[in-house]
Amino acid sequence: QIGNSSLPLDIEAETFEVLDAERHIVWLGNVHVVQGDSSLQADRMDVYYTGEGPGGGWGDIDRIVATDNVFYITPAQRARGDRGVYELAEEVITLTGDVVITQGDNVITTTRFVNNLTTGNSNFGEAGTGERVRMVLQPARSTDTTESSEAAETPEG
Amino acid sequence: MTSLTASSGLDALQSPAPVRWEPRRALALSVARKRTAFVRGMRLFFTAAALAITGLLVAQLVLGSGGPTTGETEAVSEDVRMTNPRFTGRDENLTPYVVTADTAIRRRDAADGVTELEHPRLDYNFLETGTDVSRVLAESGRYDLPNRILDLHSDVNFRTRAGYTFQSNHARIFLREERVTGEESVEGTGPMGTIRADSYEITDGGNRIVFSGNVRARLTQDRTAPTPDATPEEGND
Repeated sequence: QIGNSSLPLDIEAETFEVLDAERHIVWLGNVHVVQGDSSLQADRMDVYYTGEGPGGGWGDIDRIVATDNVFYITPAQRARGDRGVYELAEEVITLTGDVVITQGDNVITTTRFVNNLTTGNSNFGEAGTGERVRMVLQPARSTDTTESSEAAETPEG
Repeated sequence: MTSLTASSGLDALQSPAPVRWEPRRALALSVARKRTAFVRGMRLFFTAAALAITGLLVAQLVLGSGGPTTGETEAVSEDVRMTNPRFTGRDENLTPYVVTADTAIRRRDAADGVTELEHPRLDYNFLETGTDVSRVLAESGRYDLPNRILDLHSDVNFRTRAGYTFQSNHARIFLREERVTGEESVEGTGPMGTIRADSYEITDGGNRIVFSGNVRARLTQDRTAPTPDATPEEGND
């Protein structure tokens, strides 16, 4: 998953703009980033580096901010939102806005989704906002395909 | 004929008659014709020579009407070819630049002030051409003196001061405003990685670079290749 942040990032887009002095890159138009076996897609991405310019080096990628039609896809799950921030040093991805996460047949909707790529822990919703997290969990199918599904509402976060 | 017979009686009384001078009339008809032909030939020769000399004079006047040029010039049919040409100028920040080349050709039908260059080179603070400033920028180019635009074609290679390299088949350098555009596919490298695109533009003295059209890039990080002696506090986690 986008988690092994030391891997190179392969990026496709319509436009790539470098602002050298600010150590900042802007990707526009159907942006598609692949790192390892995961990918991040959006209409726009801003990539910020740790280096201080000009004169100093560029350092490492500090964070990637994706906006509009954000998709974060890993082999295990597919999440979409309005805005996504991938902080490479902490290896944490945060999706906000109208967030929908699908894992197989399970669907989770929330306004904030935080995924720690190192520990694999995920956090849905945001305490104190009154927003509800909704989950539709499909029990694992047993061989005699007895189906039962219950919508479970869980308290916030 | 009559004057001849009246004087014959006097001749008889004088001492032996002196020989009268007459032109030799022994010219046979064929000799006379040959002489006429010779004269006609000479007349033709001298007329043709006069016309040729007049023609040369006119040609000399026309060719001599061009203005003064720098570099050794050599008129080759229609075009003027200069070896080791040198064009100097300053951009809007008064930064000097010097455009040189192996050869410059000013075509007779070219627009005013536009010169074709072979193996152009550019000594200009905004752009580097690698460590060796005299390194060739491209196979060929065109320098538009009035508009201060240097167009480069085929095998274009240059580097900006900030360390970005560009390989393409086209680059248009606006020497007045530290700006470069390229309308053909480009392979670029920068501190952050490698880039490929259909076109590019460099502005703001190299601080802002835009690649457009089918952009593919690979961003590598120091993190990707940790320096061998990276101590923990240098590390990122």
